[in-house]
Amino acid sequence: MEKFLNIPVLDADGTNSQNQLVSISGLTKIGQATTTTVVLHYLGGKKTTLTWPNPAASPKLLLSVQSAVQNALTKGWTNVSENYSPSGSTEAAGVFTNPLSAIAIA
Amino acid sequence: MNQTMEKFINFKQLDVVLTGSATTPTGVTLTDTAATFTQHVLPNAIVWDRTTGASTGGQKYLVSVVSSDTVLGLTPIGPVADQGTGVPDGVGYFIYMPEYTKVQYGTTSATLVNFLVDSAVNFILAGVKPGDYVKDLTGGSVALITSVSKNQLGVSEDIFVSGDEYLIYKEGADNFDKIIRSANVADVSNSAVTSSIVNITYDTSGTDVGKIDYAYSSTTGANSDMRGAIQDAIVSSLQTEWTDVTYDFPGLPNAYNSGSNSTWLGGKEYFILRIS
Repeated sequence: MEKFLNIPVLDADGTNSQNQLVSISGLTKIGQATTTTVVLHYLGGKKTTLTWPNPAASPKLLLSVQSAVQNALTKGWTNVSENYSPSGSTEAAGVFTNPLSAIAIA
Repeated sequence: MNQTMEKFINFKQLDVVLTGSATTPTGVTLTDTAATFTQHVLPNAIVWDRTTGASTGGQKYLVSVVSSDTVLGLTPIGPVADQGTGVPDGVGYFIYMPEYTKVQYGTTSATLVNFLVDSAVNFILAGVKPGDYVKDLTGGSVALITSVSKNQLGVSEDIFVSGDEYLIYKEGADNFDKIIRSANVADVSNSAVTSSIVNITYDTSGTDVGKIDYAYSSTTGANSDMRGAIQDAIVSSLQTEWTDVTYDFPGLPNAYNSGSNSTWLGGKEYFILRIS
């Protein structure tokens, strides 16, 4: 079953936000590494790091992502993409304020 | 098509309530001249020195007494051979609260019979509830909170005067939900060198490992009860419907023994410290 979180993140030019899909299939665990980053760990050792623009004490960001993952995975297989509004961001008319500042896969 | 089932076990992991770097201890203590322990820590908190004896899971202690802002009296826990003699100078420490959860710290601003008054704190927004406890850090006494309003708390004992420092806390561990994958598991094993770590391996090469650190407190090592409990939880989680993505770990009793497991932790459930 292929599932993704659909997350607003700053463009490469740092001014506008776009949406990026982040896989939540094959996750082994999720951790809040710092006050601004959450790391999704996958089977095989790959990682995706989500970076917030503003700090939040652990485990606030972790719980936000973990909850979104759990909600997405409980939905039927045709619900492939689940919108995730990052903790601390706001949305008006499709435009996000304080989206993630970066999504990095390694 | 990938048919892998997404399943997880949900653990209650203790939150790190305070971290810092130790200074030179006197006896079996955690000493930190830059700390304000009285504002954050209560007896029966767990102190974890992850550095000393790192190969065997570090050294863990139970707080026996909060001696001052800068000194915690400690009782070593775990197998005798792995126990520490105080957190060494320059070593990082992590403190967890398994018995109580801190709600609010502050200083009273006025004196009122059978009340705690602090005009600088909104106790309702702070989440204070009747039935919570409040410790007078200045006088040392503890009272039960009987009523809550914006800037005043009714208390069961008339122990507060203006200028007293106080710490409000509630029953129950300071913890949060932390999930770890229970599908695609190849092996569940105790760490080869300590009873306080269980490894969940996901690949046959043994490199993709989830590690669960917990507060093993018996002075006798070589205990595999937690491994068995995690294995049972994995099986149970995989037997649930696919829509039940997470399975709550039911907990595991940490049996009291007057000779080998007689600290406050003996007789409680095991506490999970870190999932990494």
